[in-house]
Amino acid sequence: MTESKNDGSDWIQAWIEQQREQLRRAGLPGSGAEAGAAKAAADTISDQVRDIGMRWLEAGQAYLQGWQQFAQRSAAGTAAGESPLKFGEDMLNAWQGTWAGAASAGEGATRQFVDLISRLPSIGLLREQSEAWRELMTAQAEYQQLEQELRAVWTKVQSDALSMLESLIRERKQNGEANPTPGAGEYRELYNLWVDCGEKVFAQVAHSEPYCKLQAQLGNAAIRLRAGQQVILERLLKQYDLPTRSELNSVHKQMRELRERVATLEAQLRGEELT
Amino acid sequence: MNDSTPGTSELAAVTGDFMRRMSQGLAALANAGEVAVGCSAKDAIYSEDKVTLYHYRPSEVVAPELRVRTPVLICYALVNRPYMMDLQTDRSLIRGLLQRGVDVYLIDWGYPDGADRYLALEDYVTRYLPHCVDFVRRASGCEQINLLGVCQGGSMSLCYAALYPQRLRNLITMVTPVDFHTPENLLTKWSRHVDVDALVAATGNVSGEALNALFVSLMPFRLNSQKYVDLLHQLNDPNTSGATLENFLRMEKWIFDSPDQAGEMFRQFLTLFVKQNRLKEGTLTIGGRPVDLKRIAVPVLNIYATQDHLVPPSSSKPLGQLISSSDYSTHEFRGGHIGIYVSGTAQREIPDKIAGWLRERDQS
Repeated sequence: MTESKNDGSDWIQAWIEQQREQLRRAGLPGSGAEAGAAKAAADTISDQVRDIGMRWLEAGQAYLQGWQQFAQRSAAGTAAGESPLKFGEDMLNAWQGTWAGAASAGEGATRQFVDLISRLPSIGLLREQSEAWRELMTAQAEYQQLEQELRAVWTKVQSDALSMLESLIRERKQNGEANPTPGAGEYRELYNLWVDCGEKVFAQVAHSEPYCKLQAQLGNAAIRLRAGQQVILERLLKQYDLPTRSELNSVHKQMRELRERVATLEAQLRGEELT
Repeated sequence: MNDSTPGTSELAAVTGDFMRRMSQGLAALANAGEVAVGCSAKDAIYSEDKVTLYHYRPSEVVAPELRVRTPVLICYALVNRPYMMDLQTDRSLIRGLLQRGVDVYLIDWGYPDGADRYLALEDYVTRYLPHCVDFVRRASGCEQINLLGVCQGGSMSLCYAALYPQRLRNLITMVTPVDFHTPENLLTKWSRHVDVDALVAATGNVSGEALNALFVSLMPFRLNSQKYVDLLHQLNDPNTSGATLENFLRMEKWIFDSPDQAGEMFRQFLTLFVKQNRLKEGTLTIGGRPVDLKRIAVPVLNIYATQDHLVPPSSSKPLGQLISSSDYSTHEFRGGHIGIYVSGTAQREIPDKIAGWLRERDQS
């Protein structure tokens, strides 16, 4: 394609380059952009760890203060007319904000710090709470890392699809097929060809064991993250004697068992054998 | 790439032209109204929890001597809604069957909610389905009826037929997975490493939206992008009729109108059928009773689609070797998982095949 000059197909090459540029910006693995970012991250990693350490310390202090306030508000909040859930929202927002701040300081450094924190045992009066928060933090870090890995695979699929498209176009040209002249119809044809290439590349990747594993790992990490969030939320709901999903599950389970027993008894009364 | 790169100005022009046409298509799309689904008259005749059994009103134009005496009960999948079988007047398997003298009943599983998260395979196969079959038997006065299972509903129908063989006269399976471990089965490969126990523990029911995202990601370029670009282009074509847009919107409604899956049922189906392939291996038990497909001795018609990307033909075809029926037929439809219900060729081919096959076995 690069050798084509003024033969009416330059716009196709330009389109392919445009797509490649977008993928580069999205951080295709091995691209110059990523390598540069990795070097910059390595240069400043010690500063970042220190910075994150400070942030974590601040977050920890805020967290402990939060629980102190929580205890006070538990006694006085309802009387003051404040929504009991408001405080829970504040806590979650604070945690999310802390995480976002830490994440922006550098993914790699954050991960190192999370690894360190996750290996420390929980102790003291707030042992149970801090353990729940720690597990949530670990789950989020794991999820983010896997999401990045999967995103990189998808970016590679798109990049390979462009390469396949490029060689198809070249092949057509070599076979003497008419050079496409610019027009919406031709653009659409190019688009359809790109979709075909994309699906072909993706089908190969999607059936591969590493992809199946990675996608499932991300799914499992998302489940752990959600479960961790549920633990935190349920703890909060219990503080206010509000029903939780776990309690509802328990009720539904009991109802199901009762229903089965009633059906068995009814069948026995009718003298039937259950089929 | 900058403005002096060869082809850049042409690309800008052609992209602009393309986008203009897309915008015109969008304007046409914005004028579209709501679409209705379902076209054949039906009556709700039985319900239990969220399950409803419907009876379609027989076609009055069919002479009594041409009617198939034994009714057909359609057991649809839990994923998506059963109105796919009767989407619109010119795309309706049910309408086609009624016009050929078949008496049609259909199970609508409803939309499970949080209270249904412990509904299990046992509930569907040994409670709801038998109750619906028995109701149809009583209502029609037929000791045995015909059962037509669709996709996952076909797998459940096979279980039912193995557990209650004496209540069926004929069994039809459509795009039904039997062997979940064939090489083409992408959904199985994707689910192999998923911790389904943890998934259901965390989510309760499994949302229809999550499943839709999964199905769309099987062919991400086509299903997330190309089909919408195609639509906008079609709308821009003066030869395109208004029906094209309505048909598209109706399909979109069906595709994304997905009930949540009862958590326990989903967990069991994914574990026992998809991951462990127990239906095919003969190791499945439901409510403590073994599901032995060899107990299926009634006539069976197995219909599959050659281009099915959800249930590949290789997943449906092994059925013949797993049952003991001496009257086993297959029908291969040239099309996909959805096309078998809504494509133009399917409208004549599939009802003709089913009604003819049933009629031949209705006389004996």
